[in-house]
Amino acid sequence: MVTSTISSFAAVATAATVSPGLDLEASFTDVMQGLGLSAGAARLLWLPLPMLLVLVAAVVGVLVSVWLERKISAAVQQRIGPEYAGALGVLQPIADGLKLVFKEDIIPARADGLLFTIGPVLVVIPVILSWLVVPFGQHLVISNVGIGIFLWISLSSIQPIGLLMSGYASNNKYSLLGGLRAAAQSISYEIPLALAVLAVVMMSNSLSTVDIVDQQTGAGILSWNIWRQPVGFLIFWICALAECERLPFDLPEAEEELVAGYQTEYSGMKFALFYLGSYINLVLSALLVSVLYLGGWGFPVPVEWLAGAIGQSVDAPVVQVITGATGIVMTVLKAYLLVFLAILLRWTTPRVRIDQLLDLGWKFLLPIALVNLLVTAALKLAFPMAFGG
Amino acid sequence: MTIASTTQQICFLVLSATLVFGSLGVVLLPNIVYSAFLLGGVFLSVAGLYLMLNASFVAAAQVLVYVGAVNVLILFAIMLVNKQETLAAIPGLLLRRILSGAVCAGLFLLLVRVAFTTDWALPGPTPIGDEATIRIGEHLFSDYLLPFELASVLLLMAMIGAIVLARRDVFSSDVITGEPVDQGLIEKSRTPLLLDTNDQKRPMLENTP
Amino acid sequence: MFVLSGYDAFLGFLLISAAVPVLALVANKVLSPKSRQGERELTYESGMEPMGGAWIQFNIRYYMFALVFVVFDVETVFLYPWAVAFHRLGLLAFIEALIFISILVVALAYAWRKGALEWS
Repeated sequence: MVTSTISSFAAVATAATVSPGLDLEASFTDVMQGLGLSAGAARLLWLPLPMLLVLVAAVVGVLVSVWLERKISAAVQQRIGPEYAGALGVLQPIADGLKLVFKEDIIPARADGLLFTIGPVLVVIPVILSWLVVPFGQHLVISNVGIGIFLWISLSSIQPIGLLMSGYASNNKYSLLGGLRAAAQSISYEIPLALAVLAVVMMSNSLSTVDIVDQQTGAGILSWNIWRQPVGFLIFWICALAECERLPFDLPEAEEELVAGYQTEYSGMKFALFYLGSYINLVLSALLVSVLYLGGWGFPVPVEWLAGAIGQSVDAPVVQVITGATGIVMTVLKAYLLVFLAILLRWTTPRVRIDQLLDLGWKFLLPIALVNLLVTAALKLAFPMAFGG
Repeated sequence: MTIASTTQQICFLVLSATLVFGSLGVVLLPNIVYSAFLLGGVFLSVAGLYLMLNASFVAAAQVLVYVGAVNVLILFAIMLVNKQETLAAIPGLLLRRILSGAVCAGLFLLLVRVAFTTDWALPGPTPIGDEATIRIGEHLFSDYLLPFELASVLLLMAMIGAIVLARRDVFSSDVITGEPVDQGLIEKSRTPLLLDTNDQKRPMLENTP
Repeated sequence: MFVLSGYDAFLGFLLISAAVPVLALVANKVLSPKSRQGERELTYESGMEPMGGAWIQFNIRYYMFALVFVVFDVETVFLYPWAVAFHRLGLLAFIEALIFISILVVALAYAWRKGALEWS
């Protein structure tokens, strides 16, 4: 991944001034202050760097997922898939994107032009903004804000507004029904999702994503939350698929019924924005599953043991750089394992009906998630050591 | 003046302008759908103001509840009664508008007076930052326990009331007009109510399974 | 600027993430061809002449789900501080939250019973 390479370059560049836990910002600030800048100016210079890096990572992540989607779909159906654009067709997603940039942007004559344009923008912005809280390492996060995961949940609740807006503005029956379905589906799965997250939050005593991962370190793979929250993991994953409108929950754009749902009238870049948004959301959800349940950047075997085995201190600069780099690789690897799972699910499960979808959300997942939360609280009272004190 | 304080002032001005003009738009725009979407923008800028006051949890809760839930509910409600019909001319419309304008102006003056005469304690209480969420939790479960539990009762009552009002299957007749309630209107999809006259007979059904 | 650390990054990232779709749309505007008007601006309706608009009434069922959602959304907001502060609160808070949640389970049961969660 591009991120991992760039970050490890940066890590090597600053390895001389490494502080505990590989804090690139502190190192950068030190270097800048060494050049005679004030602390505020150094921070201002630092701020855009991780943001642009994460943005590039998100876009590359989308390109990789699109390529994976095409290749894996082809493999499932015993086809070859894209093969001419670059080796193994790796350039195919870029070709897709470029094609959409050069497509004419059609606004239907009877549509509401303003809302028609704002709709896709409103869908994309919260999804990108949510990457603010995705940690790739102890300090490898744009901003470790205190409300962390809650920020993601509240930002993702803006999305239905954008979907309703584009569905309404298209002035097309398919679009309107698709937009309404999308909004109804999104709100139906938000509550179980939030309750599943709450159970994890309760174990880590913090909303911050970095704290949530920190709480899962210590015994390697055994300390990951998935063992303590198996039900929560399943609820979260189902809800995340539903929020991303992936099969088996892709009713808003069920092509046999609604043509393409709220995207029906869209073309060119606005259509591409919907696609970008949905794939960024998929990668983001996979990353958050890995952060919440699969130990984030944690290595399956505790780094302390490995460092001890080769006779190095954990705080040695080389070990820290290697740990940081493997952390990024681990996070991305876990996330892409889940993306792979989502793509496989797409070709192995039939689409649910709208009544089944709502029943699953309200009559099954919601009660289960409430019970899961209360059981977690009870277990935390009974065994405080095993559930985060 | 540092970069930080300049940024803060710019943010404040942008958010306040969005808030004021957005609210005016919500009230004054003739298109009710635009009003509803603008209301979402107003809620978002309120959340921004909370964030500037260092209340991050309240800001996120504002977005979650008001934008994510209340505004979606309002949009659903508007699309539910999305009739494009010309309203019957109300007698004395101008007089009504002048009267309501006068009431609004009076309220505004009152608020301005309160804002200027109150002795605001500056610079206000010290923000506790990210500890705030934990502090809120501690307060909710100690000295604010009763309001907290009552909130759940309130939510229960709100839900029961809303379901009763929306379904009205407890009433056999409309409370206001006294006409029998057509259950079909509430339970089933209706035929479209607008636009071309040749379109009236085509029922627009969400495909039921 | 902010006493809360990290929200300057939030502001910056908000600007950057808002710039992405705007730049994409501007690029599309500049690069894309401008075609003649006409047929292509018609609303799509499976290749037929579109019949009427889409700004019509739809099903009340979505509304019922949104109503129930508002109630439960507020409930989860109350539960966040509880979950975060739970390690400091202990058994009493567990019982209090149990009462809180059970009252809302009654609400869920009522909505279920009254058919507010039924699609058909």
